[in-house]
Amino acid sequence: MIKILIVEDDANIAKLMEATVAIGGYEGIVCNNGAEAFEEIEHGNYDLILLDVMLPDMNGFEIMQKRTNTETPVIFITAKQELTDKVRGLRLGAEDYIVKPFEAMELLARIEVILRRVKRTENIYSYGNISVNVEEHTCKSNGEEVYLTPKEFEVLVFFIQHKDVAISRDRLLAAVWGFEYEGETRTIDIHIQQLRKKLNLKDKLVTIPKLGYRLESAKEQ
Amino acid sequence: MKLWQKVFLYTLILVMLAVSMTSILLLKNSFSFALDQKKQSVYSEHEFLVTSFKSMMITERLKENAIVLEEKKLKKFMEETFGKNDKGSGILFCNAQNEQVYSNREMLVPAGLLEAVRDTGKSYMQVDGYQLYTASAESMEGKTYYVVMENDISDVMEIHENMLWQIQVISMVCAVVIALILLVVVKILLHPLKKINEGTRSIAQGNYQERIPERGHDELSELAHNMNCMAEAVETNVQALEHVAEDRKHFIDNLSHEMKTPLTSILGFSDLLQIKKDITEESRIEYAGIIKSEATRMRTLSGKLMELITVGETNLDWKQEDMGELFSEIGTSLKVIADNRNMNLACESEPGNLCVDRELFKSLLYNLVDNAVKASAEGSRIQVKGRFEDGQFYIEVLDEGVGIAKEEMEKITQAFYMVDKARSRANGGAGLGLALCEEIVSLHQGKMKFESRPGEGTRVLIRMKGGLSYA
Repeated sequence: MIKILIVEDDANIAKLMEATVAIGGYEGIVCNNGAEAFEEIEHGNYDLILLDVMLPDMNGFEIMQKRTNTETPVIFITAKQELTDKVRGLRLGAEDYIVKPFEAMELLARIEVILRRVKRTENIYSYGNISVNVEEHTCKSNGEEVYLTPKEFEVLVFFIQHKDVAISRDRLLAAVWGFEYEGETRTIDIHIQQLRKKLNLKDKLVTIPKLGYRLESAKEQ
Repeated sequence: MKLWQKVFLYTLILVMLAVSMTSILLLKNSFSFALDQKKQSVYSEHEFLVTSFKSMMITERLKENAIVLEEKKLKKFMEETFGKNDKGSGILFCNAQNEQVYSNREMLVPAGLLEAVRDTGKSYMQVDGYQLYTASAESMEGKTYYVVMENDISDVMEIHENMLWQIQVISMVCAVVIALILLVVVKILLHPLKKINEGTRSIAQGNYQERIPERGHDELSELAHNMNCMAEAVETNVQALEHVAEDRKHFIDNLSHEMKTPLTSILGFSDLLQIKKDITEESRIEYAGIIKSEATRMRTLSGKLMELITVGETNLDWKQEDMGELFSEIGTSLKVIADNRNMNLACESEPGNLCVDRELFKSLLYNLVDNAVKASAEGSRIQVKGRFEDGQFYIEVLDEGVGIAKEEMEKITQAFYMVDKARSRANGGAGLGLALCEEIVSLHQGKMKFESRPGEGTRVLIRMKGGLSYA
């Protein structure tokens, strides 16, 4: 299981982040103090670090400067939204910079991107009788290859990665088409219909009124 | 034209005028003196000539045995006596009809000379070119004759002309030398002005820390000094403004951080509640609880913030209040907070009047006691005392709590500063209490001081001006 170190001094926000990463299927370990976090980063074995900037004992920027273990990717999560802070954070070697308040799905998506970049994610996902290989960009249903367009493929992967989570059309647009996409959410509906048809997911990929869609766990089958 | 050019030009013109006037005047004087001397000697010569000629004429008369010499005889005698002479003085005799009787050389008598002699009856001198003509009317042999002498005065004239030329040359040389010296002097004298100019320009461009060198004690150094004073005032003001801007930015930064922290939890957990399919009852209650407590925190924050912002702006209701009564009233309402944590609160004051805004004063004591309660352990003692002394009112808030470390002391009245963030938040603090107190105290023209020993407790001392004790 992928281990994520959550460095955050506000107990409630730490709890929130822990619950959020749990949705993505990661294990979150909370640390609420800068100096302790530094020790953990140096000696612990984590796949990703979510780092707050304003921390007691040692702030996030200092931790970034002093750390010798630069292998582990870091995402800054902070209330400081000024460009200079952002630039500073990224210059210090952070992979990303998320400004509070953030949405759970946004955090998950960014974690996903970084883990994929450093190749710590799995390449093969399976869902019921469907198996997806991200590397080969192939999708098999009952061992038979099903042809999916690139966007359909990405939508499917996104749903499999976030099983049992209600995903809004906007979120899906941002995750698959990119944040700058200005198309209609209607596009999403068409892709969902295609997926349902091609993979026979009519009962699993359910519509949630006024919100979006959700892929139910395969277990209940 | 630049100032240095003006000063230079005007001074040069004046000096040159003075020098030329003086030299011309001197030259004129010396020339007329020399000419006078020449005239004197010529006049003596003329007199001598006339006198000696007259005496010689008597001898001639005796020799000729004539009572009166005819004009012809006279002419002959003159020719014998003076002969022809191109050098020395020219001599000319004329009769009353202006006819030339004799001259020892070709002479051109200037017009009007003889008429002048005839009209005045005196001897007369006239300068014509380089010649000096002396004329007198003499009665000889029963007739009037005019004697005219022509003397060369070219020596005097030449000296005069020479000197005139010399003075011109000397004046030119002087002008050049004076101009050079003047140029250097003016440049040196006005050099500070250039420095002032440069300095002022630099200051105007925003280098407020720039200073102009002040040398000597003249008006320019005075100007430089005043310029420096101005620059200093500007610099101080700019610094003050920058400081205010920085404080404001700091405040906004802190505010946005303080707003975002609860907001992140509220948004995050409500998001989780919305998107997750299966949520255990336990988590649902936990998440909702967090959302509620964070929302409460935001409400506290916004309330405190409103209080802090409006404290100086709202119309304050200044009234003479009796401190004894006010303290016991506040004590009663504060007792609830203290009792909740089993604390012993004493709130009392000497009776006496002080002009305060009742609501703000209550808020001040409430915040201070709230801080004391939060810092103290259960069962400890908190004292709030008011007393009048030397025409001032003193408020003292004493607790036996955790105290404040020395290095924290300066920062505690800053907005959003919390000594122990985790504990403050757990107690629902926003870090604005003491900032508000400071504002209230300064509105009452008072001073607030903190004394503390970590682990032993804190003493807050407030001094407000005015007040009338009953005691």
